[in-house]
Amino acid sequence: MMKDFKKFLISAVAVVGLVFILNESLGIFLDNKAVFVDQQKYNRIERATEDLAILGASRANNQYITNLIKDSLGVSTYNYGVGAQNVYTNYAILDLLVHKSKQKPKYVIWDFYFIDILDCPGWNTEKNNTLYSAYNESATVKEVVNLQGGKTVWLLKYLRLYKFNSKLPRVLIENKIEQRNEILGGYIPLTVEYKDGIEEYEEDRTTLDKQKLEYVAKVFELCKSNNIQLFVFISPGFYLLRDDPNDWAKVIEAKCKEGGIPFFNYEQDPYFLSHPEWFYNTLHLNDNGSKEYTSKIINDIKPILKSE
Amino acid sequence: MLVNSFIFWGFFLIVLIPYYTFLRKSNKAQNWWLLIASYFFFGYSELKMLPVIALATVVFYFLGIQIEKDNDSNPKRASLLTTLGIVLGVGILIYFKYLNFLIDQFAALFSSLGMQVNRGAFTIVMLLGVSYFTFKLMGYLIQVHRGEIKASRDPVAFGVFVAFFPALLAGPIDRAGEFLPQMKINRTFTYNNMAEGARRVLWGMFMKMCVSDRLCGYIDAVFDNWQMHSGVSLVIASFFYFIQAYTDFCGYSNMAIGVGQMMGIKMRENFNRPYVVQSLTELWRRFHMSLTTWITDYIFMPLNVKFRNLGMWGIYLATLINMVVVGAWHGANWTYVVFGIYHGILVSVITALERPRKKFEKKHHLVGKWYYKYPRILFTWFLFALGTTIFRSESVSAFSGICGKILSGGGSIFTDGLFDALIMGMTSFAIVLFKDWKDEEKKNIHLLHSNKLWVRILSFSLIVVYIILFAELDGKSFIYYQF
Repeated sequence: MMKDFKKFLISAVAVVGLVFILNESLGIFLDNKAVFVDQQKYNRIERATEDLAILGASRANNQYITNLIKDSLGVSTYNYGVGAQNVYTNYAILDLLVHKSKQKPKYVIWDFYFIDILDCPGWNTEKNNTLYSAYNESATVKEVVNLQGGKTVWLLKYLRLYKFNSKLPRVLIENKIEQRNEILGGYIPLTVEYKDGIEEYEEDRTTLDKQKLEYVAKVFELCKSNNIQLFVFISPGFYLLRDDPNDWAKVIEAKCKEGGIPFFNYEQDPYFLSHPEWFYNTLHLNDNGSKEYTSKIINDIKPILKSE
Repeated sequence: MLVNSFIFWGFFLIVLIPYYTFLRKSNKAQNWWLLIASYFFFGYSELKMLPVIALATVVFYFLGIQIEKDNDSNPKRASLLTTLGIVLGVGILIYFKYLNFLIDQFAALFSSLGMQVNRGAFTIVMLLGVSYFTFKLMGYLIQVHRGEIKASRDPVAFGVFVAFFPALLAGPIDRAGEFLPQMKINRTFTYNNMAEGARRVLWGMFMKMCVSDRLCGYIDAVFDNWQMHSGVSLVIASFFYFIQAYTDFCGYSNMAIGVGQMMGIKMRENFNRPYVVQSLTELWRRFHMSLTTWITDYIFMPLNVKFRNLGMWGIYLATLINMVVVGAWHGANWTYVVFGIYHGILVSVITALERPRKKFEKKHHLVGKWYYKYPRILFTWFLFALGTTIFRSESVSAFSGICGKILSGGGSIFTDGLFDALIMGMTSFAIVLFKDWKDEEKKNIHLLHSNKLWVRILSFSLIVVYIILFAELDGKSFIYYQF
């Protein structure tokens, strides 16, 4: 038995040793070489000078045409929308913009959706993994990532490779597209037209997430304390919602009203609902739809910008 | 406590160290330790239900002894007690798994007849692992009654058989005749058991975390809101679910069997490369084998005998019932019944066509030809994927809605999570498929099972690094925990 135990122990130590060597060497290599879109966005924050920053998930990333805003309002703009993210990442990016950028933004447009306020399993703190590459950049990023719990902290501390978990395919593809990202100001257009009919959509939109609500308040507070004018938008969706007395949109609307923050809700806007050709899918506008939508939001914020 | 979680491995280490050190000289002490660990494991997941499994174990233990005594002296009573045991097992199953569903169905029926029904707040909490341990218990009684095994006279060993923690929540459904003899001998630490167990666990983690959990996000996003998605997205999600159905459960089974092996206990195999076969009947012989063999032995075979006067139609009828039981075993939803009927009909048709098919193959020299074999494998995938789509749909009407959307075709593709699923999930699935293919074809490529120690160590380390880089480390629970 001792002989077997020794043999197993030696094999196990060899595996651990080899994993350690591979982890360190590959980790150092990737630290120097690997750049992907999310990380490009975080990296550029250090040199950011734009007056207007757009925050949100893919509905921000794919629907707010940075150059159109810039040309119409004469305000330098960058779209920091990152796919599948929620309030936590938005707060972390805003904090980086406030504390790490060359010049902090004067205005922030936040594309808000139910994942920012409701408890949505699979769409909560687990989505904060896009921030791993910026883990050591600020205490706020650390705080947000650490919401995922002890395991994540442990893995980030002891496995150099862990922050590249899920990122390598993006590194291979997205290393090349930084230039396009800069030209389009972070906006990523969707070109396909939605072909299906409209659906009546019933969803449990009632379970508010207390922690997310706290972070919504933190975003509001961070803007207020840094004299940043915040605008909250809910962009259009191609679906019909059934009446819901506890609609999350009403909650955020009330919060905005309380904080004196301009709030605009286009989720069920009939103008967009009558144009399926402007959608990419039920949740996202395509490039043509985004042009319409961006024009709308420009009209919404213009008077407020002028009055300043 | 998920088998791929840190907490489980902490727990396992605490179980393993005394098991192989100061308890190693006594199989009885090891059994006691395993029983305590298993009950702790179950209690950790479902404390309120601990008395249920304990009570069921005691009752079936004594029933087994009595049935064995009566087998010779009073066969009628032995049959009666066996029937009683089966009724009890099925009763536990119905109570904890199907009663809510049955109440809902009756309430809906009475409502449709215009009667006022107050469903009230009466809800039964589903007992984790109930489908697995009740099947073990019923199988045990049948085996004792048939005289295939002797009734256990060791309550601790019997308790371990029922509640053995790696298999408690999602199988495999072990047979007493294979499991209990292992409880009679001391389990000592051997390199082969530990290394092979670790390899199984690692491969299981790969299947679960690099394939299943990678595809899971996309599948759930599309299926949970299927009304909002296009036919193309639904086809992609259905194909992903077909992959997930295998990799999630086989991944779990590999981990459970690996953990068992590390403790010197051999458990039933549950999968045998089901996705590299050329027919649905063969696929079913290799998919969730511990359940399908159980149902074949204890339901199909007796039915086959009962229906023998009907000739081939008897076989088809037995097959249909067999597959409906396989489907319904998964839970209380009509989708599972439809899933069973679908497979029952298909397997019957395939059985009926077997002779003309073989004739055709012989005539045209098609056996072993790649251009015949691979399209057949793909066609089997298609048939099984259609079945898994029924299985994944939340209701039969949702399934028909999904089919309607798929048949209407086109539409934009839902892309959130698709990139990760396609690149990482599908690449990892290709690796799984390659391994299955080379094992099936007996190709002489060995990495984790190489004769050379350094190749094994290197392969093991590379898979660990691959898991760090590509696995979904915050994955969901195992699909089969809910059954």
